[in-house]
Amino acid sequence: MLVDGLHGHSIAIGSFFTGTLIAFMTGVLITLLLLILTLRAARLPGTPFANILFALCALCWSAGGLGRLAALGSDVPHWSTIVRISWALQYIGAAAIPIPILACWRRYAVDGWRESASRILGIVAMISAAAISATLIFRSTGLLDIGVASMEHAATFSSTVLLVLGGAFLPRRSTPSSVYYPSLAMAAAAFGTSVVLLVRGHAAPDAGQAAFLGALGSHLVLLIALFAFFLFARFRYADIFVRYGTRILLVGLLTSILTSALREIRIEQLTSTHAPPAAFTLHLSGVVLLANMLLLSFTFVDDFLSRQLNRWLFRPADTRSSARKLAADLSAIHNEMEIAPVVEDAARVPLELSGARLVPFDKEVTIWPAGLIEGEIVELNPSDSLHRTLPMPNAEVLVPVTSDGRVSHLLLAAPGPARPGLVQHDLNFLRMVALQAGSRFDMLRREREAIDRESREALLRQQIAEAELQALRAQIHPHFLFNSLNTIADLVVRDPLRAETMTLRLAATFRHVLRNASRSLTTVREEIEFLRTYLAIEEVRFSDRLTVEFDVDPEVEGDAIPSLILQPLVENAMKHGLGPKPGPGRLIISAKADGPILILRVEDDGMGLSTSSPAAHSNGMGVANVAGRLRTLYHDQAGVALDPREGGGTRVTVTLPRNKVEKA
Amino acid sequence: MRSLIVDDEESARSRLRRLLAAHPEIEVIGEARDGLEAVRQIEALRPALLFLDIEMPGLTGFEVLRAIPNDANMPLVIFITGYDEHALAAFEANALAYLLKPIEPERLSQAVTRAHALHAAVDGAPERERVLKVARESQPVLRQIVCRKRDRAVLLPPDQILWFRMEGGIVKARSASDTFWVNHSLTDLEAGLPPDVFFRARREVLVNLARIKEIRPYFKSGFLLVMADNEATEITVSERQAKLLRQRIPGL
Repeated sequence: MLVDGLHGHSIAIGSFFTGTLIAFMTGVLITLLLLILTLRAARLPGTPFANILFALCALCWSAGGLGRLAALGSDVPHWSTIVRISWALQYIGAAAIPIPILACWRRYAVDGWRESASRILGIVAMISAAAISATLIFRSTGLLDIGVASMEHAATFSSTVLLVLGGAFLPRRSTPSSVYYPSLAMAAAAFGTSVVLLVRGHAAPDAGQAAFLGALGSHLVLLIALFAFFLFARFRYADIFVRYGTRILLVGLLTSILTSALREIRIEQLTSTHAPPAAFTLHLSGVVLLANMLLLSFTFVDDFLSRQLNRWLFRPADTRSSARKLAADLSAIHNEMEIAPVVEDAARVPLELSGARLVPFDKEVTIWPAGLIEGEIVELNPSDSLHRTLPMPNAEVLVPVTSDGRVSHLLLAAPGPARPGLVQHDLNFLRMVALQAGSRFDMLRREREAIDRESREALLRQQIAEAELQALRAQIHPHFLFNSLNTIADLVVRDPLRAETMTLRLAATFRHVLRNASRSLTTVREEIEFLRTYLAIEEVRFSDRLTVEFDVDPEVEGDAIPSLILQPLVENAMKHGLGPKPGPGRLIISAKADGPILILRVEDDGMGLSTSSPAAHSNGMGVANVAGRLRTLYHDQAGVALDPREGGGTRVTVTLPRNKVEKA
Repeated sequence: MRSLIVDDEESARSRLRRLLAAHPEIEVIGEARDGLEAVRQIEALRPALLFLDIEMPGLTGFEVLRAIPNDANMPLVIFITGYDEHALAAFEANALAYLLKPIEPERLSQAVTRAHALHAAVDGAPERERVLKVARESQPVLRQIVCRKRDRAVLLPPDQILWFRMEGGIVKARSASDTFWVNHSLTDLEAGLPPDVFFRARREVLVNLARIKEIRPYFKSGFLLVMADNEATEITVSERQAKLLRQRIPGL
């Protein structure tokens, strides 16, 4: 139906040749893009097989037209092999196109007679397409001799009739309006094309008008059909196709305008009023100006068009405001349990999904697709066995939610009837929702960890405080106090002078303990002095049974040591070393320097260490307390050791770095 | 009441004696300065009442009570302590008499009155049982064993005893060179001695595993233990206990 001059009037090529060539080239590019994208999407859910067939038919039509035109342009003989094949291809595409479109409609024709009608129409479309295709092939090989024009008419009219019938009957009133009206429009367009063709064939306008009508009619129909197609046959890359398709189309259109302008501006008209060089210059400048304007406007027009088309075709959810709302909702959540409902709503409502679930991801529970574990979106075929293990069996899209550096949750999405196929834009939105959920999970975990850490620290502080209190109480055993008081009570009557001495010593002992309770360091001199007083009381209590010896190197007397560090060791020696031993006992306390190390010793000639006696345990406890204090103050530079003493008894050795203190 | 004062501090003893002077019904028949002396005195003097300090060199007050014969002659006890939270709780729980240092005269006279009343009672057994129960619970581990031979009593650390054997209703303890009798039952000893050292070879024998010279297989699946005493005494292990011994000593 294109340029009739191809066979018959050889004047043909005329003024519309270039424009038509460009239009066909654009058509080939677009349909090729469509075919590639539908093939890529074929594995994904929501892509009917009809899409591929449609793309194939459209490609046949465009490629055939282009081939025929190109052959014509390169001066091959009329009706040569290449022209015949192209011609056959083009009209096979035209004859077969009702098949995929009817198949797409069939989804909406589900009740009673509509269903059977759609089936009948589908069968009829296939039979007629097959018959016409066969005839076309035979005709192109020269086996049949039928008029070329009547073949073209047969293909066009059969398609038109089928589309008009299908568009009129198959979609119901209840079909979504986004499908219903485009369907009607498409049927109408097909009908219109046939009318144009009839008019052109029978009213016999001149060759130029015929060519114009042919180029315009066929490509307008292709365009309408393409866009109408996307309204009810959504597939995953539909939005991408629309974006690039628009761009290709726009380029084709602009090129057509430009070439037409170059050819159609009548140079004779210009020369009638101007001198020829001036006219030529004017013409050229006009064309260059036009070209520049078109080039400049391209980006804006393209941007505007694709945005408008996207909005009109896919009614994209208002993802930006949804994302903002989700962020605000999530920031108000402080419990991980509450994240799921909010995220599910945020995914479901804007995309009109039939269902969305956020579930914890357990790597072990089943065999997951490898990509999912690495954080990629996975789409499931209806036959995928994973459906059985999922908590939402109709889920089509699995969006991993990453938190703490790994996939922790899955967002399952099942498309609803309003958007049967999720397009790329929708997936991007789901990805963004998952990202927000993951970062909120991360933030909550960090918050919880911070709280945990804080409470652990508080507990530790409390334990330290308790340990200090315990240590303080352990400094002077209450037993010592009461026994001393008992002794004084006796001495008051028998020996008032000794009672007085005893009382003073007891006072001195407690004064030292109280004064040193609040400070951590004292001098060796002070500590030894304190021990002398303390042990003098014990000597009175045990009279003949206790002998105490001090051996302090004067060099170390000013050294700093932790206050009351020896007293627990002395008390231990008295209680567990000397206490159980009948008869006299000896206690030796020494302090000396060994280079930079201060060595403090408490020795007794008492029971000694025995693994089978509880004394070792108690002694160990006293030593452990001292070791704990040393660790706090000196870390690993100080230590305490418990050894058997030569000649019986026990020796406790404290080593710590030498350190002078300023005498207060 | 014939009474014995047990305290390691001279001043404490003299003060108590002075305070008791206000109670003519108490007759102080003696004093002991440590646990072992207390055991000897108790057995020699048979006092009706003990003023017993708990913290003492040698044997503690509780160990003294576990070492003396538990018979009708066991004296009533008034415990004395400077400060011992656990012991105080046990005394309170078992309604036993105790005195805190420095001793208050009023508390002393209450305790004396109570002891007097108990002394007059027909049966002192429940009180004795409670005293022994507190002694056992307060100090479950025996650090020293009071070993007797004729009228002599010595303290031996458990690791110097090779075995204990029940012979004719009396528990005998065997050191490297000598045999003594002790006042503990085998069950009491087994509970109070380190379980990884002392092993019940038979119903009537408790052996010190550290003092075995040789272990020989015996009839069936039993064992014969050759001890490290001068006579190299042989002790058979019952079949039932042999299994436990195998678990105790790996590779046997």
